[in-house]
Amino acid sequence: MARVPTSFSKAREALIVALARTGDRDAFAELVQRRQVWIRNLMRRCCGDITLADDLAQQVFLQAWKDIRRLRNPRKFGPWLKKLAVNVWLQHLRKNDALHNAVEHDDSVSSVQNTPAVAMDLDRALDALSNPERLCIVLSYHEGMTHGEIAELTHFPLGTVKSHVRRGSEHLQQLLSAYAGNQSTEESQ
Amino acid sequence: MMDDRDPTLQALFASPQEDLAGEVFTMRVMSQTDNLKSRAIIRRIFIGLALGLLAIPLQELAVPLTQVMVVSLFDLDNLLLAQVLAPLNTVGSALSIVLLRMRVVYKRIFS
Repeated sequence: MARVPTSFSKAREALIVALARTGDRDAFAELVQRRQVWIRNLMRRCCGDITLADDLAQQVFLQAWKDIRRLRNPRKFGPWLKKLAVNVWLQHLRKNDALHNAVEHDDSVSSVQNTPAVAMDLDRALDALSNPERLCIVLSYHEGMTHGEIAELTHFPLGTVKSHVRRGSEHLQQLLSAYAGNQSTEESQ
Repeated sequence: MMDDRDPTLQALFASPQEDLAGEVFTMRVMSQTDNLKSRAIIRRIFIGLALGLLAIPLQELAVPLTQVMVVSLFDLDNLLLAQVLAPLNTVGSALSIVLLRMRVVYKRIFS
């Protein structure tokens, strides 16, 4: 059975990446160990399905293993991995033709809007967005990326990113209005 | 410059996420990378064997192919122009351009 090494646990990431680039299996295992929570949570935010998210996260790391020699700057491993994750997610959407189902998906928003807002948590609210909107929102709020960075990463036009983030935020604000109420109450206390 | 974000949504997204146990996940990924490695080795062995077996027929094919590749596409009367355009004015260069264009189109469609 595969063993997760501990010898790299205190080493700097750039050094481990440099070792992984030479094909060092243990170094790559350490990178997976360090980054798996981030990538799995990112994929969970993107797709809302725990099993699928873990499958996609695995694909991300396998892609990273295949391509890590192409990574020129080991210090940019994080952004590079994020790019791989977004590409894996976009490929998954294309495979399932989900990007084209945005209009159909919008129908589900109205049905979700009728449910009590208190019962909605963030993941359920994200489910109500179209896939492109959801991706842009996750990259903006979860990853703290600017619209320009999102456009560059996803290859969506900048205007499209802006409108996805704006519309997605509006939808989420409507769906999560109860949280906003709670927050203002907490602040006033 | 940071884009404007709704503070309520930002607070929700900032709430701590599940700290996922990574041992099993990492082991699964690493066993898959091992599979990839084994498959890559097998592929290389097959390619090596195939190249070894096909070396002579490939060599025989390469000779006439290289002769075809350097054939000029157009006969140019102007000697200087003919020399300047010589690298482009061949069957090989035309094929290369077509292949490069196809690669660009393929990348645009599938990436």
